[in-house]
Amino acid sequence: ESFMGGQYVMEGGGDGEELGATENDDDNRGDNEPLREQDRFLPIANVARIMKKSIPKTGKIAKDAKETVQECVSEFISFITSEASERCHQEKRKTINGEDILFAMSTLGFDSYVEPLKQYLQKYRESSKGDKGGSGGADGTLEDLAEESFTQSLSTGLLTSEQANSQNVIYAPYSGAIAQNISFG
Amino acid sequence: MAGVEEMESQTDDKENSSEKIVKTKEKNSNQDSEKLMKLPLSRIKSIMKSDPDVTLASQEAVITIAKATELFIWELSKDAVHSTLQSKRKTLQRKDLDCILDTRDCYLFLEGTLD
Repeated sequence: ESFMGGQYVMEGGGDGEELGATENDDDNRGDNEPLREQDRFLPIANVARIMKKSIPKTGKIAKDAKETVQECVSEFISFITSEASERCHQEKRKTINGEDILFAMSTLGFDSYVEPLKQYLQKYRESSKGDKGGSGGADGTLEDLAEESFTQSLSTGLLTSEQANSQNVIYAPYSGAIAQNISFG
Repeated sequence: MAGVEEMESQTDDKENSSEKIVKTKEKNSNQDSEKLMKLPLSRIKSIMKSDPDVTLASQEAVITIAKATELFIWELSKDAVHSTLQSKRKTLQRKDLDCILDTRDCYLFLEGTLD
């Protein structure tokens, strides 16, 4: 039945494309084999680019600081994933979904990320509705997301659980009013 | 310290020139690419799957972690740069990261990573 030789598993009830199969160079490695050094971390250029956003414009970043953040990031990913995976197993599900990740973040002390991530996911779901099959949805179609306002909401911490629910998310950072997804009735 | 700064400015120059190229392309392509995922999803997925207990992860799960990772890098750097500025330096160094690790509970999982 599986025309991809058993590597690609479709699961009913999943909330999107499953990632059992990979689309590029990762394929020739079996699952759960130790990663090569360069694959254990995210590319340093990407990491550095994001770091630069949080430092003053005239600031610089030492190479060992970038490398350290690279390592921290991989730990972060593993940490969250492990927690999410546990919850998944407890609920007898095989596929980790977005909700599992959000729950893990909340449990592990990254509660402040949850609301911005929920908004982000909502936009992602809306933007990928137009793509049948959804495979193109991941990269480059999240046009509505304003990067700055997203990180601002994290730092100002304005989204509280009382204000935000899945239908009406109104968030207004201090420096301006950006009202999103207001619906009445 | 001067050696670090020199090294850094060289790296910065390279990165700046490549960033300039990217920025030009971004302007040409209508601002859409500015909103692109900043981190490679395939690599994130590899890291997730290196955990033996992880079987499958949905696209949404990977996307969510990718965005969370951006937030994490951003917050970690923002915290660390406080230490940089307090020490009256302009270059964020590894010791600034060491410094801030015990300032938030959520960073506890990183103990041992920075040894």
